[in-house]
Amino acid sequence: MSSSTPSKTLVIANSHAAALQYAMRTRYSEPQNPFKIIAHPGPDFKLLNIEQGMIRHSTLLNEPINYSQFDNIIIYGLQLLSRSGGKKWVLQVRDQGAGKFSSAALENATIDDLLSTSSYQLAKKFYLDSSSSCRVICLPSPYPSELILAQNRQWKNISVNKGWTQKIEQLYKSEFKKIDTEYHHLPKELLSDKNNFTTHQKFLNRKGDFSHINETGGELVLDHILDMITP
Amino acid sequence: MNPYNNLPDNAFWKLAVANKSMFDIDNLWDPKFKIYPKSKVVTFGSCFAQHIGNALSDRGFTWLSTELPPTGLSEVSCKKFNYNVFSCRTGNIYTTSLLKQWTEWALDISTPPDECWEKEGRYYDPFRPRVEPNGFESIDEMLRSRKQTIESFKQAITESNYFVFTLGLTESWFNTKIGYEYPMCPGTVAGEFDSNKHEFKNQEFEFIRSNLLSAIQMMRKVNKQLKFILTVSPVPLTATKSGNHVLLATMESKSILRAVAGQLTRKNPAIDYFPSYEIINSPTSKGAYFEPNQRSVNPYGVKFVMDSFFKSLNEKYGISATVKDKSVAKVKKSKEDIVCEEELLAAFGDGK
Repeated sequence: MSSSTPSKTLVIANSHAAALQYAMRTRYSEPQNPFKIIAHPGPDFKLLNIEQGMIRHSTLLNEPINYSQFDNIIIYGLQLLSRSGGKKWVLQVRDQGAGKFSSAALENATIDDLLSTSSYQLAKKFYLDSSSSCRVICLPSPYPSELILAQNRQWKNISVNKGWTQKIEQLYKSEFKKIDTEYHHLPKELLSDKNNFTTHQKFLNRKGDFSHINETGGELVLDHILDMITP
Repeated sequence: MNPYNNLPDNAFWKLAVANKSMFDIDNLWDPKFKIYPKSKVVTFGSCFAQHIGNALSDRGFTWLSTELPPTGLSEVSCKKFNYNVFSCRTGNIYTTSLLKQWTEWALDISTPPDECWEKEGRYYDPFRPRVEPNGFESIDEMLRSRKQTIESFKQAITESNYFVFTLGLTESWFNTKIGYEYPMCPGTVAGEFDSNKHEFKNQEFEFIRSNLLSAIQMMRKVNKQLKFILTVSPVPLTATKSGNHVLLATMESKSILRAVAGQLTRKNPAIDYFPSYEIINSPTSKGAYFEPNQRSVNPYGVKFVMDSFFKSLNEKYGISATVKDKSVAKVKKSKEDIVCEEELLAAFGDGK
């Protein structure tokens, strides 16, 4: 991590903002905090209006935000990679390891899924608003906890295709590049040895929640972001 | 008195057809089977069969798809990759002999050959050449995919209550050296035509009838409750190798298929016939259900055919079908949404 001052950054996120917020609170006192976070649970932020350098919404935001004053916009989570409490990701992992689909069909499914996410749709709105040249970065939701596999008998023997995470990264980078957006996977330190899931040590210890990382996980994500935005 | 005196109105052209608007001609189908919304129906055959699957799903009936797409694949991409077009990815099964071939593979009566068509570094399945839009990346991938489809076809046979089959063509292509049938002439989509082993066959009544009956018997051997609904595709031939004018070849081919379906339906209580062919093609329709190319059936035709299907079921058995309103999305907070809200409240709430 660089020792320079990070550039001014707006984080737009769903519930995954919580762990990040905990980490930022530990790291920064308010005047020095280079981050502004706006967060709302679920996928609704795709409804934000992005026009002429401003972010507006009558109910999702208290007041309009002049985003052109920020150097970076980070869109974090918002259905990217994992959603529906992690179940959809498990099904995708199952499909990737099943050996019954062509690689072309799997790639199309991955891209179709990406294009349907709130994250992508919001990033596209920034791309279409030509009034600002902010750097836009998309980060995915954390992979679900590795413990989710114990929730369903049929999931226990899922064959995990470890190489698929790299393939997804390539596909996502390529699709996001078309709308002048950067894509980065979350840090590898979050991964379990299954590679496509998050280690339970970085997860909230809350029954039935396989989606949200804890503060330690949040610190790793914060460091990862700082690496990207610190000159 | 003569045998015609006591016949119902629908036995007389003047009463049943000539005096009516084309939209009011009814009682064309007297369904043999009481198909409930929960009954599992599979659809295969020529391309018109895909409309039946869609219509069943749209009206809340159980159209069984045994080969599901990978998670995340959009509806548009599903069509491109031939998922949810038929009940599994067989592609078009144009002839009854192809249906028999698929049935034998599914029930381990015979095994498919390893033949593969290569074109520009991609690999095509000779038995489903259009199922993968740009071909498979390797022979192994193609064979694995075919194996999956054969397993899914078996599942369709064993788990369904009704098997809808649309008869499409009499014209067919065989590999005479090894003795199996292709759905398309080698060399059209991919592969290479070889006159020494690829042979054209314009199938005749008895060949078509015996193959269909044989396929049905094989399927009913493993699923005794399985019932069949036959239809004939109203779509004319796109090309003919018969030597006849394509219009004559179309009429001859459809007439033979219709005759086979009629004979099997009359003689077998487990087989019914639904007249989609007549609804679209009869003179009363005046060609109104075709697109300007006079070949493709337009959406009004498809809707009219399928409305007739469900209307007949309702009139005979009181089973109603309602078209689902896809525009109304259910707005309900899931357990996950609630967990997410709690998470944010804890981080951004007053406990700073």
